[in-house]
Amino acid sequence: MCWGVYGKVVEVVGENVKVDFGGVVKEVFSAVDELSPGDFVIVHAGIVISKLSEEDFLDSFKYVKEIAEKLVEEGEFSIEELREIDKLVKRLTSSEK
Amino acid sequence: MLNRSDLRIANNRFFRNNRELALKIVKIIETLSKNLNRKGVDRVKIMNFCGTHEWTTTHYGLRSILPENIELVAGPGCPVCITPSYYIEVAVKLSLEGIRVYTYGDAYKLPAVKSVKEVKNLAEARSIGGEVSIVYSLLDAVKDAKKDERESVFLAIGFETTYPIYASIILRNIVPRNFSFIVVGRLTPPAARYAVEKVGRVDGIIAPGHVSTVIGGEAWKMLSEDYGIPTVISGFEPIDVLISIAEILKQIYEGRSDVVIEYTRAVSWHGNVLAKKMIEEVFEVCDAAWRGIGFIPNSGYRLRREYLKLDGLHLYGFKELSEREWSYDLSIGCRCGEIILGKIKPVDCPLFLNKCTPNVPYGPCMVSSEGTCSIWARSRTGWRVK
Repeated sequence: MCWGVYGKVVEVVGENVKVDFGGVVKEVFSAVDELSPGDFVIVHAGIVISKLSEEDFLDSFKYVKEIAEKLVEEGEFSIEELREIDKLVKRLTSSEK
Repeated sequence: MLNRSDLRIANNRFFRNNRELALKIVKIIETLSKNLNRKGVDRVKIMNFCGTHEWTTTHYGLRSILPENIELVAGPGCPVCITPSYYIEVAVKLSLEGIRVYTYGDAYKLPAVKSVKEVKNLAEARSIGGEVSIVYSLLDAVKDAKKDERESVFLAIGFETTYPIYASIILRNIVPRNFSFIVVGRLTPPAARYAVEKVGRVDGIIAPGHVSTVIGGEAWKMLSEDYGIPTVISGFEPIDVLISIAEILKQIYEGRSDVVIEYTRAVSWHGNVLAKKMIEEVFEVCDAAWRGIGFIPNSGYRLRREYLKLDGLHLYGFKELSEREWSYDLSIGCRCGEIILGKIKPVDCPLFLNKCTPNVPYGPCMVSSEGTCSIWARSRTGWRVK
């Protein structure tokens, strides 16, 4: 029931939006202001409840880096491990260019 | 830096199919766990409040790759599981009286404690001629109900995520005249408060991601402020859950208890203000019953007085369930009440995969794809620890 589904807005139709769910397009309600075609959203039970943030998308990784850095400071984690994590995150993000 | 053309692909790439990073985070978790051990913390109990988190944890076998001293338990995170038997009995009764009952698929087999004309769930009611329709969303039900004049009720089960659509349809005034609701909306933070008070020690909370898109990070402040429990609002991919666990361990190690949003791509501190406003206009918060548990203060939604004509219970002469009249609503031997509160695991219940299976569920936690027992039963091995 709480499965939120990711979709892409293809058209704004008055108060509703048409959302593409990997090939299936459905018209749904929206509880998010100012949606435009191309926005990625979470649809739950027929209504958009959130717009995915491109800016904050990768912020989750900052926690991994922060924790690893702290562990390095405390001598619990090697600097090489930290560099590897750093490289991994950078590689993932740069390959998206 | 990010593939703008499809954030869904980016989501899978970064947070799901990312074995290398997962192994690094597990290494971090192992280090943190050893550090805690040295400080005398021998066990860490982390509770989730969303069936989807339990699914991720089990489906991806996260328990099996974490240190043994980290225990991941499921809390009250499945709205179907905690729907009191009373509302199912009412729905069954109405369907057998010819009133069409619309339901989401995952409540179709939800068993009641008391039989009505010898049937205990909507699936059985339909098999003897009851009017039951399964729908994907409320919109489908409304469209269907408009086709004829038949009286209809919608079994409105759900947490805060499901209520924006109910509010929106009511506010737009497009509810057909022959349509009403059995309102069984429940709020998650009061249940979390109840669980941490009743379960005993909980060291960290993985808070529900999609519920939090609506209610925001601020709704969980009380867990850190009143109970000193590190709380991380997490996304639903395996990497999300691993990051959340690492953050909780770090906070415990540092003696902090903050609310942190890991699911940054979808959740904000204040949540979806528009959705919250819509819900508030239509519904008010009330004390409400949770199946197998009892009444929890301020944990339910009910329609505001001006929308009472849309209340199916009121319309068809059923009383709202009161604390005085609520009685323990699990069948004999069923331990779902303890499972919902994270007191025991599904495998501790003698009925699990014996008398109670996904095909023939005996208890409510075996019904929905978000019920802990159902998740464990379908996964078979994913719940195993290291």
